[in-house]
Parts: sequence; C-alpha cells; structure tokens
Amino acid sequence: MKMSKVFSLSVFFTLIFFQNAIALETHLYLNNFQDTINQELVSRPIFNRTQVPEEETVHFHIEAGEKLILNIVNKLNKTVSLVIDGKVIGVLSSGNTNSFKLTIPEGIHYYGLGNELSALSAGAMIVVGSKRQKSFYLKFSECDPSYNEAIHNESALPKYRPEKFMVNDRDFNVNNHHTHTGIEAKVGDSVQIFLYNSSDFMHHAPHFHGFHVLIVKSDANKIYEGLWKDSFGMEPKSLYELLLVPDKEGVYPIHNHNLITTTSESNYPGGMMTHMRINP
Amino acid sequence: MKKLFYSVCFCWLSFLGMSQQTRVYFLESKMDGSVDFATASGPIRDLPFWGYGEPSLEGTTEISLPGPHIEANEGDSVHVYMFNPSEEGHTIHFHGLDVDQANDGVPSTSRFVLNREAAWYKFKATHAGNYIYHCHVTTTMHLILGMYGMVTIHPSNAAQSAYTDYGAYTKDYSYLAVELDSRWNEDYINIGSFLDYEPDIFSINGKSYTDIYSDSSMVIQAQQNDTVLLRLRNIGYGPQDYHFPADLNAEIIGSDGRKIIPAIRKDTLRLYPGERYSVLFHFENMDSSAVTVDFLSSNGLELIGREYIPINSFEFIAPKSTISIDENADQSFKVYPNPSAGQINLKLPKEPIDSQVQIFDMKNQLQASYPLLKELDLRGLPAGLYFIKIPGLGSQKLLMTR
Repeated sequence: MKMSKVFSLSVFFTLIFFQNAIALETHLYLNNFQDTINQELVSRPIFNRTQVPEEETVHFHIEAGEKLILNIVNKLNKTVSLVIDGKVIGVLSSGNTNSFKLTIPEGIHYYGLGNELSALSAGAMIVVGSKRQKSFYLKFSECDPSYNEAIHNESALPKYRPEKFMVNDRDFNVNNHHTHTGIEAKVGDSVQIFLYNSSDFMHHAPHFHGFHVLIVKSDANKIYEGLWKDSFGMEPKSLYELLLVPDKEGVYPIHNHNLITTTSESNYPGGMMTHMRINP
Repeated sequence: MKKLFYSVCFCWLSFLGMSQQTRVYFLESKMDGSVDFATASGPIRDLPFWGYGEPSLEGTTEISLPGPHIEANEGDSVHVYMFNPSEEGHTIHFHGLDVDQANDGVPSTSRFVLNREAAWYKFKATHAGNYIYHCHVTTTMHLILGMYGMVTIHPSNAAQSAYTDYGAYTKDYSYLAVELDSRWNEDYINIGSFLDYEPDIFSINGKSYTDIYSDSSMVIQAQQNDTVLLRLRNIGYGPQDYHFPADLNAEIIGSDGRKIIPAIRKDTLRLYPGERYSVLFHFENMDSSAVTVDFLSSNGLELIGREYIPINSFEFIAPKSTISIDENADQSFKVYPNPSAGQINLKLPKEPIDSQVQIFDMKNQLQASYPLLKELDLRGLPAGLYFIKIPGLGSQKLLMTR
C-alpha cells in the first residue's frame, strides 16, 4: 500500500473518530423554582444544571457538527414533553432521567416544554455555530402567576396578564440593579448577542442605549436582517443574532421599550432591563 | 435673573447658530400642561400633561405636546440646556442618538436634574435620520404623561433628502404616535399598578381624531409627481401598524437613523415601541385617501385604537367603523395562522353558534361572508390586510399572503 493511501485512510478514520467524539454531554434538571411575585409564591418550571432549583436557566452554544447529549431529570410531578423550536423531541417522564442525543442544524434554536407549558418559559437557547470574541445570550420572558397556577391545577386558563418581566429569568430590581449586567465587553470588541423572546403571547421591543447593533439574523422578521438598529420588535418565540462593536466606554441600559415591562412590583426601574458594561 | 440668563443665552445661541457647527436648544421641563383631545365619543378637555417647552425672552415657558422639535445637520454638535423648575426630577434621553454615558439621561448611570437644577446635554449628530427624546426618570410614567419630543437630523449638505445622496423628497412630514391612559394624566399620584395601564387616547403629534384632519402640518398635501417623506416614530408602549394606500408605492428607505438599501416596498409597516422609519410616497395619481395607524397591544396584538392621517383632504371623514375595538376582550376570538396563505383556523371562546364570519377589506367593504366554522378557506381572496368580524365576538386583523 502506498504511503499516500495510508495517510488518506488514517485521516478518514480520524475524522470519523472525532466526528463521533465531538459532543457536549450535560445533565439538566427540570426543577420547580419557587418565585415570589407581588409577595406571593409562584411555581415556575425551569431547566437548571443543579438539582437545587435556581432562578436562571441554561443557554447552550455548540460548534456546527457537534452533538448535544442531554440527560434530563424531570423533577416535576408530571410527565411533560421536551420541544426544540416548538417541535416535540421526546417525553420527559416524571422522576426519571431522560436522555437525548441531538444533532441540531447550524443556527439559533430554543428548547423548552410543549403544549400549554410552553408559555411558562422553562428553557432557553441552543446556538449552533462559531463563537465570536465575546458571546452573550439574553432571554426575554415574563410570568403571569394566575396562568402558572391554572396550568399547575389543570384548571381553565385565564386571559394572559403577566406581572413579572425578566431578562435571563431575573427581573431587574432594587436589589440587583448594580449587578444585572447582561453584557460586559471592551471598546472595539466584536460582541455577538443572541436574543430569545420566550413568550407565547407577548411581543417585546428591546432598545439599546449608547449603540446601534447589527441584526445578523432574525427568524421572525426578515426585514430586519442586515440593518443597524437601536430598537426593534421581537415576536413571540422569536430568535435573533446581533453584532455589537462598542466605540466608547460606559454603562448603558438595554431594556424593553414597552415600558410597562420595565417595572418590578410597580417600581421603576425594574423588570425587563439589564446593563451593558463597556470597559476601556 | 432667569430673564437675564436666557437673554445672554439667546445672544450666545445666535452667535453659535452662525457657525452651522453647533446647534443650541434651551428647554424647560414642566408638569403644568393642559391639552384637549378630540375622540369619537366626544372631546376630552383640559387633560393635564407634563412636557418640555422653549423658554421665551419674557421668562415664561409653555410646554407643548410633543415638546419642541430639535433639528440639526449631520456632523453638527448639538447642545441642549435643560432647566427644571418643576417639583420632580427630570432628564432628557436622546433615544437612538448613541450618546455617551454622561449625556444618556438615565438617572442611575448619568444624572438627575432635580428641582431648580439645570444640565447641559451634548452630542454629535453622526447620522441623518429620525430620533426621539424623552425623560428617563420613572420613565414608564413621565414619558407617557407627555415628556417626549422629536429629533430630526438632516444630511450634512442640508439637501432635501432623508440621507446624504439618498431619499430625495419634495416635502416631508414628521409624526410621533403614542397612546395614553387619561386616568394617569388626570391623577398621576394615584396611578396604582403600572400593569393596569389601559390606553384610551391615541394621538399623533399630540392630536387625535378630527383635530388631525384640520391641521395643515399633519395632513399630507402633495401634487402630482411629488415625492413625500414620512418620518415615523413610535414612542408608545405597543406596536403600531401603518397601512399606506397601495397606489402611493410606499418605499421604506431607512430606520433608526440608518439607510435601508435597497428600499423595501411595503404597504403595511409595523413600528415597535421606540422604532423609527423613513418612508417615501410617490404621488402618481391624486386620489384623496389616508394613512391608517392601528395601535396594538403588546400582549397578543389586539387592536386597541386607530387614527388616520389624511392625504390631500382637510374634509376627511373617518370611515364609519365596522370594527369593534376590544368590545369585550374576554369574548374575543383568535385567527391563526396569521399571516396566512388562505386557509385559516378560528379559535372561538365557545362552540360555533348560528352566526356568520364576515371578511372586510381595508376600505371597510364586505368582501365575503361565510357560516361560522372553525376552519375557513379564503384562498379566493387577493393578498392584503383584512378584518375578520364575527357578530358578538368583535373583529381581528388577518394578513393574507401569497
């Protein structure tokens, strides 16, 4: 056998080996997080990395071709379905570990729960593709305690009327307004920002102070792609990729310009707001 | 003392104004405005509002709704002096102008302008386009009570075009649309929960309903072969749909102070809160008509209000509405998918009753009528925007595509 042929074969098998080997395997727990909204306890299902319920869920960013292996322990007291981009991937049986080996096409996707539980925004984004110098992931969501309760009790669903508005599952409030920083970068950085409106009902309108951002991708509104914007709309369950190249230092808010959502328990500022911290 | 200060400042302004490099504006923020609104159900008189005004040499300041229009050319430095004689703290945020942190007008990251304090805001007008300014103190309340205004940046050569060498026009019109909850204006102390916001007035440039139709600065007046630039701004809290007459070949040429090349031809344009667009109308025929502005809720896009901007008519009569706006939200129905290629489903609050589904076009003309079923095939209708009306259940918009 010629040496060149041996070399080609070895490259081929090495590629096969690595293709099979490139995978991100992770454990997730579908928890019931006890939130407090207007002084009342509200149950919110949420995907966490730990068994202990946490406020914030998990975004994934994998390379193109990389597999995502999810081992999900469903700690809710009922069996639910796992969805990606609204399509059912499988069943998460209550109390069990459910494994999924996923090959996901390049692009921005979301995972969460199916049927009426979709509205409870338990999941986040799965981004497949190259990372830039800095990458950030912002999920816009809200919570209607009455709606959550009706789903929990399997009673008739009320008209949706959210009371808590969040970025990455946390509302901006008097306790965290100094630390609620969604983006931290340096002047001149090339910053990739992924946005996800996880609502089933609400249209959100993010506004960036200080900078315009390039809308690289929008799955819902193609008119936006290629535009530099400081304000835009996000339809329910829509996904965006943005590029930010900050030209000056400082701290600048990012918030929904539907300003009813920038309140927390009727205090302003709050709710659907975070900060960009741009260092020299 | 105040009179002397402004006299000196006006002299300085005149000096700076000559240079074409620095534009200086003086504003006062106040909480003592009063405005009348025309509505379909009768006038609303003496509604209190907060806002900005330009001080006069006599030392008095009347605020306006919206506040004074700030204009400059691309490349200019813009200096805005704000004096706050009112009880509450206020600021100015220049929305979309990408100013630095110190001039951003956000109290927590920039500064408050407290009672009887003043501040200078300074920025460079780097991009021609349409912008907004507003107060960023307790913004949810201060903004909607009236503390906003328009900013227009013209090209550096002051040419009659939206952008340098792009978007030439013969006339231009600036619009800023916002909804408001009159209960907030009547009694801002007792607003209660912000979540109870229920707008009942829908205004463009501080006017509504018939007051728009008689305002020469708002009615679009054009002659054959004119190209008219519309500078559209949404400072409300819900999306706004602009429906342009199809024969005007509307072109979307820019947004948020940036060109859109190539232009996009659309006869319906949605502006989300805070967005701005530049739209060109090409007048090839001279039919009188109107731009329809639909005010929608962010939660489910329910139609909550409608205004018209007449074209070439001061005698405009709003079409008699066949559309019941949110008569009873709990009784409403849903249409999906929307937009649709023709086959639609109706999600009804109860099982179909012995009723009809009526399909109206944008001119409120009945296009079709069907027995009430959960599924309908509308593939026989041309593409466009329609209103689906079910007697007793209100109406919903449907965008038909092909």
